[in-house]
Amino acid sequence: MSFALKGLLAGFWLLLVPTAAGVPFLRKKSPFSLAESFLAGYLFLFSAAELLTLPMIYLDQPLHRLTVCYGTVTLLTAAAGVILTVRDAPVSDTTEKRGSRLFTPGALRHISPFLIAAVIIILIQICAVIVFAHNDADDAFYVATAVTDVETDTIFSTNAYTGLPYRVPYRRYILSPFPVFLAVVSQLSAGLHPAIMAHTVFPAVFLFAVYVVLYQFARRWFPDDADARGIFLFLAAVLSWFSAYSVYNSGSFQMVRLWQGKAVLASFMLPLLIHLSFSITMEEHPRYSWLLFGMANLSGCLLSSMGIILTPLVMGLFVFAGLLRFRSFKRTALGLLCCLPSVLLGLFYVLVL
Amino acid sequence: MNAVMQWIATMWGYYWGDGFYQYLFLAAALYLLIFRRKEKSTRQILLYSLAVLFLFLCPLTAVIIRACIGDSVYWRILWLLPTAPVIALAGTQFLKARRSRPAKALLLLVFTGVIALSGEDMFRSGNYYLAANYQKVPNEVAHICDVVNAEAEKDGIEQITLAGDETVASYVRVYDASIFMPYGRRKKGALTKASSTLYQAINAEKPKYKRIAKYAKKAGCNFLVAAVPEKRIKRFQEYGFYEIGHAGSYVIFQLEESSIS
Repeated sequence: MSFALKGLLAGFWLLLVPTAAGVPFLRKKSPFSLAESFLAGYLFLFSAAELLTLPMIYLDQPLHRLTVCYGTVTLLTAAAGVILTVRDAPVSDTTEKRGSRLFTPGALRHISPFLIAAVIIILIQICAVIVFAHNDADDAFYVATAVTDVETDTIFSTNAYTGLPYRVPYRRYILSPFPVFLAVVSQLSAGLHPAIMAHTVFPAVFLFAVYVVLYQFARRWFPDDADARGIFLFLAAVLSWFSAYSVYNSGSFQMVRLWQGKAVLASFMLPLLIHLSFSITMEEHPRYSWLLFGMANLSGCLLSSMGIILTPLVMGLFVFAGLLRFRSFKRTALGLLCCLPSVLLGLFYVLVL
Repeated sequence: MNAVMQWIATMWGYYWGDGFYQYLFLAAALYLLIFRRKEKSTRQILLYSLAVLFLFLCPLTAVIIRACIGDSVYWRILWLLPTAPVIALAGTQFLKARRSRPAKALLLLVFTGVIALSGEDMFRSGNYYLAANYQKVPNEVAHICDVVNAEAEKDGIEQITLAGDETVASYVRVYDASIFMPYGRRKKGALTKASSTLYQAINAEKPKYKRIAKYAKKAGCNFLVAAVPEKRIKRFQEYGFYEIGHAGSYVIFQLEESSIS
């Protein structure tokens, strides 16, 4: 299959599927934007990947089986999202209303010039991560695991460093199988080489996702001021651009290795979790469902072993703040319940592995 | 207690490096606290930031968290700090108060300059280069894999086992996982003593070429890559490794079939 077609398939699985799959999880929140359903979709994709991958690792299943299961589950959810969107579309939503939503030449005049400037900077960054390369030796495990799993049609049973079967798998990584997610998405994209997926497609998609998250902050803080939202996004993009002051800060991880789980955690998942926490635990009437909060916890677990610790830390802070503010046992219990995946995985790590 | 505080300060230093983003963050927080303290957004994000800073700086919580995540990566707690959102929020709040768009644009340029001076350009810090292969691994590694695969196919070799230095070991299997290696990055995955010795020999500051060749053979490698001066290539031939190509500063060797024990 041609390279371009594989790229299109990657776009389908990484942009269209999450956008549609997020819809069923946002139905209580009406109306919601495409950006919100895209983000909710990623929480679902990551959670589904974690829930499907872990048992398959322990059952020693082949990668192709996981790929089929993951593809089926996510496609069905995306299809449900499309059906719900079509079914719930108001009957009166005819050309007049739709026209106001879609792009028209006149609509450009209403877009803030600051937002246009921000989008230009973000596009430059996305083009840079597509065109240029950055070598990071951590790929020796993260990307090589995906390439190895594809080569051997196994999941975490072959040592990525040598190609020989594991005597004992690296217990630190096994509960956060983001490299397997990379392998699965590569397979779904007609076998696009995982290194190409990791070094070209993932950074472009996740960099876009990072700014979608930051835009949610802008929407939250400046709901009625388009210029302010544009300025906020512009400043956030500039701050990332000049993040080379150390190799440890999240901006640096965001700009040079956004294909590794820990980088996705630092620059995408943690800000998204903070946004969700503000919207769920700190609002009297939560703007999103608690299910999404729990899925964010599971997603953090998929991305990195650090996510198993950092996500409940953030969630715990907000649940505690929510308890002080609302003094509600139910809310606190729900919040703690959402932290359960990382608590269970943490216990499993300590007691079993 | 002092040791813990010093260690926390070291981690703080690692995270912020040579930049001034921590001062930008502090300035932004102070601006929000003084001029925008009545806004809900400000209160929420600042309280959260304060809680994260407390977790990071308090020796008691630091010791607990360190025990969970490890000594060397404690700086990752600062990933929880919403540095960019807080700075951008303060900047936006300040600019929002200006009435005209040109004034906003001009001040935005000034802010951009301040940020540029406080940090370091990702694109000018040697972070990126143009790779000659789609997998975006170092060009030498891609070339090594291609040469080795071509030779193996020509000679009907079914399993390639290749050894190389740290750079080669880190990227070969990212490019092509059909190639086996006696060890990976930082000697990980080395199963035999010969593999471990080979790793040390090939990455030694002053490599002993005979030792490399000897242990490569012992470790079961049929291909070997090393940065070898021209006049030392003969040392490898004594152990049955003959030269099949070059990739940058590396010489690529293949083990003669007659030498395979």
